[in-house]
Amino acid sequence: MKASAVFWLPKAGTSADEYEDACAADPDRGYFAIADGASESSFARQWAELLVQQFVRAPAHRRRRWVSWLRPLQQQWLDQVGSRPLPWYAEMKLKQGAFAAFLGLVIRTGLCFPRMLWRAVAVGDSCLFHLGSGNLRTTFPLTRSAEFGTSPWLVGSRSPPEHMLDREKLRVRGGCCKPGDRFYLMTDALACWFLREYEADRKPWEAIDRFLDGPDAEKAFADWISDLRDKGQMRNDDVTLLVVQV
Amino acid sequence: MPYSAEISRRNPTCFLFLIDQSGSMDDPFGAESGKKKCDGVADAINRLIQTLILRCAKGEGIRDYFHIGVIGYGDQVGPAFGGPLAGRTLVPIGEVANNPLRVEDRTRTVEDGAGGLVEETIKFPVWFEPRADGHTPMVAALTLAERILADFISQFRASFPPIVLNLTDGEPTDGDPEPAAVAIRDLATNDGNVLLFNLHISSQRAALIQFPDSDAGLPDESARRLFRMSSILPASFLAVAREKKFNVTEASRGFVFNADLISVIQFLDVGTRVDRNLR
Repeated sequence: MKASAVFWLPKAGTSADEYEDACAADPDRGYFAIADGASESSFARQWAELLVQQFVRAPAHRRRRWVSWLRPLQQQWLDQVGSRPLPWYAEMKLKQGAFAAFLGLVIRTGLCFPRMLWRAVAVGDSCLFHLGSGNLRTTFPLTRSAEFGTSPWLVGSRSPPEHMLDREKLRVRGGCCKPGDRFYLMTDALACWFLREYEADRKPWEAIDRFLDGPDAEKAFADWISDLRDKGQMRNDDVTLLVVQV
Repeated sequence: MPYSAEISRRNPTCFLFLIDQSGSMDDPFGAESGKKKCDGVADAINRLIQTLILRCAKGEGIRDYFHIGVIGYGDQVGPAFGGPLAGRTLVPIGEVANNPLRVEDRTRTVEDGAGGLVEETIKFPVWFEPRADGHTPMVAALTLAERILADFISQFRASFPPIVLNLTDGEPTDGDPEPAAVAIRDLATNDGNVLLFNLHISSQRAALIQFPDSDAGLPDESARRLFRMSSILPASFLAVAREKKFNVTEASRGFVFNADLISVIQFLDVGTRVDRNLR
């Protein structure tokens, strides 16, 4: 199993150091995660980064592990960002905490070899799309493009972790997959485009697969996203795409 | 589609507050409230500026998504920031954040997490002082606002249109404000016309009317005129108003009549909600 590729691009008009998504993968163990730091919060990139790095070290893909998994990360975030004197507004903002949408995926060889089991956990509007035998098998956690745009639930760096446990907020989903399947994990702007295309009876994964298999994939990805933004087909937002080839 | 421009550092928008500082603002809000109108409005504006700053705070700095101005009208008409910003009309929000007139310590009561209440000291930056003296030269204030905004628009033609929030407790004493209001609303960026929202503050207990879609229920010509002066709420503002459980329609205007202190705060909140356009 391998994570075939990670692509990312900051919002148009901002620099790479203002990019606030994060992505991590441990293909050997089958752990993958993306997070989308909320730009209205402060130190969101650090928070997004902590979430994905910890997930690929020790994934919390079951609801009951969530609280004990999240609490030490919240402390780490505070230790990282709260240890120096800050102006009044930065201090107030720090008290509000950072927020991020989060999506983690675990793929494991099950008893039914060569089929495998996958399990995903999500808070917010970063999405996973599972493609098998040329068909879209799962879209998770959102299933329609109309669901984007409302305020998504996010993981807060200072919110009580227990508050995330509702089934509506912390979503968990699993299924089977087989060699040759692909998982596309993406943050909201790209995910919204993907679902809109799918709703129009198109196959949005083909656009991705084209540059994935072509030369200089990173540049092709950046050009493709810029083009979608210019045409008004995609909101100008940080974009992250993680493609997992089973 | 208008009112969809991104608000970014390259492409900021502005909020301009016009604050009635006439003598009657020294009276209390409504019959049962002990708080003077001028004090309540100053607190609400200072608190709102703080909220806007927090929306722009990133890490250790501030992103200049907004330019902010406060114009007072009473015995004088002009910029109303105090301290280092005195005399300035529109100021980038980073500069506002770093130059309050003073930072007060205020206390508030919060839950202690164990079933009790505890007093907590919070920082309360102040940029704008209450004032109540003289008449109500609203026409002069609107005319000054038009000049300030025309200048802003000439610098930022692609910006999300500036938003003007006018808070008053009485009738203008320097003529008919309607032509000046029209002149403001006729200003436009490539993304749409300038938005003018009006709020009328009451000294009596009277029926509160928030974001009406017609002038049918308004008691007099002065109220109907403020209604006509107010912009129709664009879709994104309507969405915010609906989220806050206001009964609004496509024709609802940025207008509140007979406001008490809570509805002043709600008006300022709905009228400045452009978060979804921030980049």
